[in-house]
Amino acid sequence: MEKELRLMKGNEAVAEAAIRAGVDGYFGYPITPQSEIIEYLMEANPAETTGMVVLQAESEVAAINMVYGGAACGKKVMTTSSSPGISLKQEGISYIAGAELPCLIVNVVRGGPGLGTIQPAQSDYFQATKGGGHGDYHLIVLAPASVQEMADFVDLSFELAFKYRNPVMMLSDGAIGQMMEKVYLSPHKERSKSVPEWATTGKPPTRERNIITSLDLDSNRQELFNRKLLAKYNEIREKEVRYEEFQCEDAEFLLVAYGTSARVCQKSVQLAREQGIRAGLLRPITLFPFPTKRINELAGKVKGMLSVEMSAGQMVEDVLLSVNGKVPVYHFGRMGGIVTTPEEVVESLKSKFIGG
Amino acid sequence: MIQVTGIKEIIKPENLVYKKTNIMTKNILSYCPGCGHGTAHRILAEIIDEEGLQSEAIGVSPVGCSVFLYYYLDIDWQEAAHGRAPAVATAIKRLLPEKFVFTYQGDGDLAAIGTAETIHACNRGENILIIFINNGIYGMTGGQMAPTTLPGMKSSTSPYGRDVKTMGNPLKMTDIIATLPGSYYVTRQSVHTPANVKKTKKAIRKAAQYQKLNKGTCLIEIVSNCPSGWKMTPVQSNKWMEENMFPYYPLGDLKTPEE
Amino acid sequence: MVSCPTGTIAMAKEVNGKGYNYAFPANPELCIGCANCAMVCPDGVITVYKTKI
Repeated sequence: MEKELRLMKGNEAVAEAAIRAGVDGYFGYPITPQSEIIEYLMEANPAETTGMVVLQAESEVAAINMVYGGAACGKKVMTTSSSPGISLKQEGISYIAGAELPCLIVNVVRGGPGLGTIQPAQSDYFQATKGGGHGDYHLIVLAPASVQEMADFVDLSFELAFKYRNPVMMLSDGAIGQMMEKVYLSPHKERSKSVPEWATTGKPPTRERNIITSLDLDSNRQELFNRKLLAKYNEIREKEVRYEEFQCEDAEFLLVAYGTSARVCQKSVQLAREQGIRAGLLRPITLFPFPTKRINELAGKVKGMLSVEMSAGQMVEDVLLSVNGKVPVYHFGRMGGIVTTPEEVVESLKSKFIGG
Repeated sequence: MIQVTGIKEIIKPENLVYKKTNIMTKNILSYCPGCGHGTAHRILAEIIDEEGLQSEAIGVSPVGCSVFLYYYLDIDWQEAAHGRAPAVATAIKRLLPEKFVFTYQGDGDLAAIGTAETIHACNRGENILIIFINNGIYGMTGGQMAPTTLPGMKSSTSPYGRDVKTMGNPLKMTDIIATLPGSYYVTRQSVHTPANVKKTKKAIRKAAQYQKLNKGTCLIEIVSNCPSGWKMTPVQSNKWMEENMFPYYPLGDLKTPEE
Repeated sequence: MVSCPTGTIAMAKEVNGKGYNYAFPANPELCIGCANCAMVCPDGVITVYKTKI
C-alpha cells in the first residue's frame, strides 16, 4: 500500500503514527512543547475508528501508571511528556522496567533544570540513558532527528519493546516537536489481537495465574532477576545499535551529535570542508545501546572528536568511554533552550583542535 | 445424651456448611494474628467464586501489608506502585472493559500518596471496584501515622498522640468520594463480627454486579483493626475499634444507586 | 471465643509451628454448626460440617 505524504509538525506526526501503528492506548498530560500530541489524538478521535483509548490523566504520574496497567495486559500503550513531566514518571518507568513490560515513552526535551524553559534542549541524555529512575535498568532510547523519524520510530519502538519486554523511550526535543516537514505516513495497521502469554487478562482454567510485579523479598532470586536483565541489555547492546554516518570515510575530526544537533552538524561538516577541514559526523540513532564499537573504530582514524549537544555535556561522557583515551574528546553546546548554529560548531572545532 | 458420631460419617460433601473457597491458594497468610486483612481477602475470594468471576477478575494490589495479596487469591494480578492502583485499574478497565477490575488498598495507599489517583478515578467514574482497608495506621512499615489516624491516637510518628494543630484532622476519603457524581456505590463496612462479615460480603457482591452496569465507581471502605500497630491483642483491638474508630467512621451506605 | 455463640472454641494452651496459641474446639459437644467462627476467621482455617444425628 502507498504511503501518505503530509506536511506536519513533529508532535502531530507522532500522534498520527501512533494511530496508524495500531496503538491500543495513549495516556498523557499537557506540557509545552508536546501538548499537540494529545490535542491531535483527541481531535482525531481514534476511539471511533480503531478503538484506541485516549485519556488525559490527572498528572504525569497517573499517566505512567496507566501505561503500566495497560502494558501488563499485553497492550500497546504509550505516554508522552517533556523533561519535568518525565522526571515525574521515573518511579513508574522503573516499575515498568522491573516488571519487564513493553511500552513507549516520548520525551520532547526542553531546557532545564527545574521548570526551565520551553525551548529545545538535549539535557535529558543522562536521565534517559543512565537510568533516571532507581535500580539497575535501561531504556532502549531512540533519537529522532526529523519529523519522518518521529513518525517511523513509533512502530519501531513497539517492535523493540515487545521483542525485549522493555520500555522504549523516544528522546526528541522541542525543535523537532514543533517544526513542520514532509512526512510519509505508513498505512493503517490493525490493532493486534494476540495476547502475550505473560499478560493479565483474566485467568482461564487452562493456565496458572499471571502476576505482574517487580517485588521480590528474596535477595537470591532478585539477584538472579537482575542478572537476567543485565543479559537482556547485553543482547540489546549486541543487536540493536543504530547510527548514521555523514562523510566519515576520510574525516580527520569527528562530530558526534544526535537529534537537532545532528542536523546543525551536517551543515557544520559542509562549512568545515569549505575551509579545508575534513570533518565528519556520526549520528547515533540509538542512544542506548550507544554505538560504542563504531566510535572506537573511528577513534583509530581521526585526530579528535567533538560531542555537540544542547547541554552542559552529557553524551560526551559516553564518547569518552567509547574512545577510551585514544584521541582527545571535547564537548560543545549551547544551553537554556538556545539552538547551536553551524558556524559556532566550526569555530569550536577550530579552537579546540586547530588553535585557530 | 448426645451420640458422638464417627468423623468419617460427618465429613461428607453433603454435610458441608462452610469451607474456605478454592480461589484462596494454599499459601499461608502472612498477616498478624487477628488482622482484618485475612477475613477481607477470604470474602472477596468467596464472591469471585460464587459469581463465577475467576477468569474475569484482574486485581491490582497495593503497597502495604497486603502487597503480597497476589499470593493468596488465584486470579490474575498486577502489583501497583504506592497509591497508583486506581490509575493502573483505569487503564485495565478501559482496555479490557469486560473484565472484573478491582483495587485493594490501605489507608496510606488510598488516602495519602494516592489521593489524586483515587479522587480522579472516581471523578471520571471508572467502572472499577475500590476496596479500601482503613485501620488508621501504616502497618507494614512499622506503625506510623496515617491520614486516617484518629486525633490523639498514638503511633510511631505521633508518639504523643495525633495533634490536629500540627498534623491535621483525619481525612474522611470515603465521604469525599461519595460527593462525586462519578461514584456509584459507596459504603463503609467491617469484618470483625460474623454479622458484619455477612454485610460486607453482600456489599462486595453488589459491587461486582454493579460493575457490569458501567455506571461508575464502587468504593467499599472496610474499617479494620491493626493489633500490631495499635499495640493491643486482637480481641482488645476489635473492642477499641468499636469504641473509637466507628464513631469517627460510621458504618453504613454513604451512597447507593437510586433503584 | 468472641464470635462463637455457644462457647465451643477456645485458644489452646500449646503453640503451633508459627508460635501462636491456636483456636481449637474446646467443647465440641456445644457446637451447633452455625459457622460464625469460620466466617470471621482471618486465616480461614476452619471448615464446618453438620449432620443430623
